[in-house]
Amino acid sequence: MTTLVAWALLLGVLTGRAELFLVTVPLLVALVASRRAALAPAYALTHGVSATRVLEGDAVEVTVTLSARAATPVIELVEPLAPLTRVARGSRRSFFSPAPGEPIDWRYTLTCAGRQRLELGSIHARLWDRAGLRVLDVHHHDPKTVVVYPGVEPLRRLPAPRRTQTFVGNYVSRALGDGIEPGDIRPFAPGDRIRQVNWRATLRRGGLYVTERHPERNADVVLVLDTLAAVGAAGATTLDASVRAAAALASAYLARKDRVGLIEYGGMLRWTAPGSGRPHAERLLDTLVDASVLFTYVVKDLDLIPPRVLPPHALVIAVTALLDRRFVGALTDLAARGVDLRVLVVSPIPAARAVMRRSPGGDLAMRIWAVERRREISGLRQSRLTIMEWEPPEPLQAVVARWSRRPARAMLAG
Amino acid sequence: MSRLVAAPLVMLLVGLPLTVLPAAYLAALAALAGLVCGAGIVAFSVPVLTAGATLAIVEYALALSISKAPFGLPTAIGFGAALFLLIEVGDLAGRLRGAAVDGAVLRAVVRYWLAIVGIGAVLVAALAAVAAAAGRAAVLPESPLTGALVALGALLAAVGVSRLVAGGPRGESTVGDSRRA
Repeated sequence: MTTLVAWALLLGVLTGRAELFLVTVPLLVALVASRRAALAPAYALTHGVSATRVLEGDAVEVTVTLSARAATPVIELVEPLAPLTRVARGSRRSFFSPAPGEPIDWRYTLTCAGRQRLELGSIHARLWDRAGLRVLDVHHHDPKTVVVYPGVEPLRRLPAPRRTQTFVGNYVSRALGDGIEPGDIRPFAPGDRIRQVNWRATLRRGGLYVTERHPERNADVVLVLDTLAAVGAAGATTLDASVRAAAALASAYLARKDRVGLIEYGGMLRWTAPGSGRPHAERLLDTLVDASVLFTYVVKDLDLIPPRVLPPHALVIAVTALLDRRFVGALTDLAARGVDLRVLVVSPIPAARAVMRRSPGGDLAMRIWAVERRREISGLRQSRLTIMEWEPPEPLQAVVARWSRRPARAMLAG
Repeated sequence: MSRLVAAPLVMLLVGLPLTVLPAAYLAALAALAGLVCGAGIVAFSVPVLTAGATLAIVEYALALSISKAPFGLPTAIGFGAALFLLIEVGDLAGRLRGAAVDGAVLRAVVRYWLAIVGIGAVLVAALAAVAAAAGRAAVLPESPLTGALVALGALLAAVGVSRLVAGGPRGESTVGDSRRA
């Protein structure tokens, strides 16, 4: 505006025409009016979110209420967008001209694409005069944390453990006791209860016979998550896929009354002792939200893990992308101890391909990498490791169903 | 939407000088000014829009200077209003781009524009009337001293405007706490 005023005045002087002075009058009036306008943050902002705990892909509605104590010409509100989120409805930047005593609700909806602790409530307010010549920036902090948990895929069939524990569960134990699964028939012995008598066998054989039963027991399942290395774009790394798989397995086992524990094997060795119930499920998901790669050269020893975290008869499911040799060493160590170990290998090739530009050289590199991985996995299978491969776009249920295929009515030791 | 509002303003801005002096070379300059203004509007760029408006001022100055036309108050008011509104529309469009805008904002801004244009038109008419009365009362002699005085006055006006604008910062920043605010 000043440029135009200067040009008009200069040309007015040069040409000696009064019209060129007069055309500057509206611009000068605007400049003077803008100079006189006082900008003061006479308003209050309150920030709210519709949910503080959501799953990946869920929407969170953000509501900002603007209450002005005095007339404000124009106010611009902006909330920075956190990573792995996108605005699904509305806009995260809005302009208002609030009147005193008339609160304005500004709403927009965010979709959270990846697990994280989403920090909201940092709002930038910018007060403009009506001409847009003067501005006052004010930052508001009203922190709100939204925990975005990994998406949980429902799993109907799960790998069964070799041994069961002592609590009631869904697995038919090989041991005899109280249960509904019938076992052997044997002659009556003192101490047997009348309701155990098998009357059909008794009539046929002419003596008292009882039916033995196998009890239904639960199992301890320990998930070992490889956080030594990951590849892929943010929100779609091999670690994110591993975390989703671990969350799905944990939820499915907990739903079957099993006790589930978690070990994060990475730069920092973290664990959650096996437990059951809904609070424990939330504890596991909270741990999985924070799972991240912390680079280190230090080789972690599984001996550091206390026995209560890794019980002797537990089913151990390792979820890994097999990117770090140290994790392979830990797996071999576990298998050598006779642990009931299964390995879910998350293929890193789709995640790596997604961040690479398509080129013949890149495609060739990926094919070579796939061949090398097949060879490595084949070698691990020869070391008596039970391995299943999973390419993340593929439903996890399909992989787990292949894994859990076993003869009907098989009984488990314990 | 802002482009639809700005298009007639651009046409008015570059077309008004042609009513003073309809000439081919001036039409070429008007077309150039219109193109630059259009580019500024399409790109939501106030600097480019300012460049186009400056070309339009040059065009107007050339038209007035070459034609030796008598003093035209309506054209000056129209040109000044179009100039102000075009810059304001371009700036507002750039600021509001990609944001959700409450209807009250547009109403407040339009009211402000109309007020500025109205005050400007009244001031221009008053200045013209005072100048006409003063011209009838006393005619200054055309001398180098008069020219120097006029130039000094214009320079002082330009410095005053610059200080007026540059004296206070356009942006200020504070940190607030909404729970406290």
